[in-house]
Amino acid sequence: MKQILLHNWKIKLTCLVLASVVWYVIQHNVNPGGDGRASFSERAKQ
Amino acid sequence: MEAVVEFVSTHWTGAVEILLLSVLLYYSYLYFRGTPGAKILVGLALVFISLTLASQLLDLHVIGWLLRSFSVFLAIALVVIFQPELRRALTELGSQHFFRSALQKKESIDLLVDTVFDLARRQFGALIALERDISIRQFASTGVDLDAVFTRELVLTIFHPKTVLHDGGVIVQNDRLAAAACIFPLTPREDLDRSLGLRHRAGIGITEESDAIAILVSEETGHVSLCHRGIIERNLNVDRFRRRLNQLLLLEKYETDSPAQLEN
Repeated sequence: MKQILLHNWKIKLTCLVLASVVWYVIQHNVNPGGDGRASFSERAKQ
Repeated sequence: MEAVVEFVSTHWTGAVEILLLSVLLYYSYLYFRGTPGAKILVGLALVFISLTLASQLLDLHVIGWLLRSFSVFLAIALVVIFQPELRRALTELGSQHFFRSALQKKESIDLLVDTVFDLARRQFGALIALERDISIRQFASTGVDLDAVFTRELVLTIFHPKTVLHDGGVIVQNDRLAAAACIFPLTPREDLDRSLGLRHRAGIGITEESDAIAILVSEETGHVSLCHRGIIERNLNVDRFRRRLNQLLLLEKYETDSPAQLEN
């Protein structure tokens, strides 16, 4: 189990970071209330 | 404690989403690695993610608008560019090869090791190419299509010196014998040991053209050799051969070119 988790760990970590970035970007487009900033669509309306 | 429970109860969906996304990204990387479209995909992803982040963090309205407008076209373009890879991925998903466990792979390796050393004991010359990420289907068309289950008896029969199929190499795709009597390209290298015959040169050649692993059994000596990325490791005993195959197939350490580094 440990071997399976640890092998390719650099790539797995990069994927986790990348997934977090993608999630953050999408979340802040879908849910403008996330950090108080307006989303693309909100800004377009403004 | 209550604050932690509240934080977990409000954000657990996000954590699950990130986890699922990272699993999807990881398997996409493993799948597309080595394919011709991989570099295009990495380049596009880098440009798209950095522009999106910049437009979000720096409030770049025009870049944001451009990204929004082009994202639909980009999605269609990606489907067109990666049509062969997507088709293969869906086929593999359907055939359940995608979900093979490490244990199943280990069983396949054990069978392969037993077969190869059986060939070596009988001094049957053999050349077996194991396909990995890069397709070697074009070489399968130079031989005879089999699409058979990999069994020791079948491989021994194929490489028996008195059979029609014994000349040339066998291609193994997804644990199945895809084709036999295939003609592989010979390596043009001149720095190789002069004692290496055409079979060994073909084994090195196929690993220079693709990321396949070639297994060679010498007809004269019964010695077993292993080639990957144009490197040949000769005269392997059964333990070392098994260990190297495990490293190359299970741990996927083949990106490293030096056999010395692979030992670590």
